[in-house]
Amino acid sequence: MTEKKILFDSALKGAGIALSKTPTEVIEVVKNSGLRGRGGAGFPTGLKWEIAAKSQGEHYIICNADEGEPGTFKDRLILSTVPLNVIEGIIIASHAVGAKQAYIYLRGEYNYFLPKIRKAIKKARPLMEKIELNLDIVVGQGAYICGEETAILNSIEGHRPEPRKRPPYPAEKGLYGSPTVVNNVETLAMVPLIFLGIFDPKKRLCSLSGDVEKPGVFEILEGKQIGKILEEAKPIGIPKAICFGASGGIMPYDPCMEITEENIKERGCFFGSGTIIIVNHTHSIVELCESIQKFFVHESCGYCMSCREGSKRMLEYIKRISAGKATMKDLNKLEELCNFVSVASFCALGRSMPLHILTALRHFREEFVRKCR
Amino acid sequence: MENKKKALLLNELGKAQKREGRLSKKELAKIAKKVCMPENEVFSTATFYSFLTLEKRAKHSILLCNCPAEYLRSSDKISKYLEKKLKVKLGQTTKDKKIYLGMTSCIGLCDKAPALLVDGKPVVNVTTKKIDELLRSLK
Repeated sequence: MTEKKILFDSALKGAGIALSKTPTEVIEVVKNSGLRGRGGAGFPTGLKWEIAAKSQGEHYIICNADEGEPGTFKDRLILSTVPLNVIEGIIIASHAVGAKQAYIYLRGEYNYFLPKIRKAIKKARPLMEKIELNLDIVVGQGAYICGEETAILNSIEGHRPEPRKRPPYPAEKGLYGSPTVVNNVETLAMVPLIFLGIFDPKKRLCSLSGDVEKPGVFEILEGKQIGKILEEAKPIGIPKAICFGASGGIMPYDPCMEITEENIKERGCFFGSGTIIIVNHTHSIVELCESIQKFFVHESCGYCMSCREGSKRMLEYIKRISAGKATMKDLNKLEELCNFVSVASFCALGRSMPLHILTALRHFREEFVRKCR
Repeated sequence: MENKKKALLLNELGKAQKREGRLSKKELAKIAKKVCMPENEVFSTATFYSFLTLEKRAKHSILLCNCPAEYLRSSDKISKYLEKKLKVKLGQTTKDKKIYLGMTSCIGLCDKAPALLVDGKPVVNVTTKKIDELLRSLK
């Protein structure tokens, strides 16, 4: 597969500049750049590094390449076109917090990128030796939960990848109880660009898929109208709804809506990792919810009761609604269950699981009601 | 030093799975010794992941993506076609133990949907015709 390039190739220049600065200076530069985590939570990257650098103990850097969110594939494109940027980001982060050991946690589904990543590591070897950094790759074996930043720690430590209680946050007590920085692939790939002076925090990568003729990764400027992006991607049929991945919620399509985190949040949804799935008029929202819920039943890690059992019961309700066998009482029960799971679950996976149903009920309630007896 | 060994566990399990097609008790014990971890803990970890199995599944694996973006691009038609052709249901192995048909979380190929992972390698923009060719090449 050949892929089009979307990011500037720093070719070790960014890391070169960063290593000529002191760790404190590096953290200051990253803090001032306005870079926020691109994995979903959006925590300021510089601040995360500062917290880790100030915490006592051996330091670790983890590159989270376990991109499992449905509809998200920007990290795949980065790993296949500019893997060296990611390695540079790891080197700069290690220099900033004083880490001697770093890991790339690559999801098993992306196993075929291993040769490319190894080649990039080889190229960056001289810089790694300069700061005495050892970089290992851990290949996941198929588990969505491993994208969660504390589950990833348990996975690398060889335990079952169940999430940990937060706080303490990994930046204070992470891998083996030591301060650990967990950063997403896109976040790390942006770091060298900061030192080259070409980073713009208002621009971000967005994976667009679903009912469009030209799906792909788009670099969008915050505030761009969704209709303008769709002009490029050429919709198939009449767009009806936008789905922000499995855990980002569903909202009605509005061509004039400007893409900002606030605008999306106002409609009850969550932009997180920059996923946009376009849904057209031929698809039923109830059936879409059913397909998303099947995904969650498959991926719930089973640690907490609320998520393990809740996901299955929610799917039962949706299947019944979808088959036209449910009553209004069932619909109300489903909503109640969703509200329960969204507060009672242990980690972010469980808490965000009901979001697609809750937002669908908020914006497309009549589709559910029509199917109920 | 011991910590570094633990980080090897997942890679070791993956390698053994690839080599043997499954993780035998003997193999798990060997790995446990290598990474300095109790056998029961290695067992507990190994049984969590969907790519690792205790029993031999099949020579080849075909994994379908279960994400909603794929669903919108009629991946259900592809999965039904595969089920019909192989005469198995999702999550099962063919009678001759040649092909395992399973599901996996989004494989990040939604822009080239419908997509499959065949023995770990991506096959994109799948059509029924492509499946026929694929199945012939796997036999």
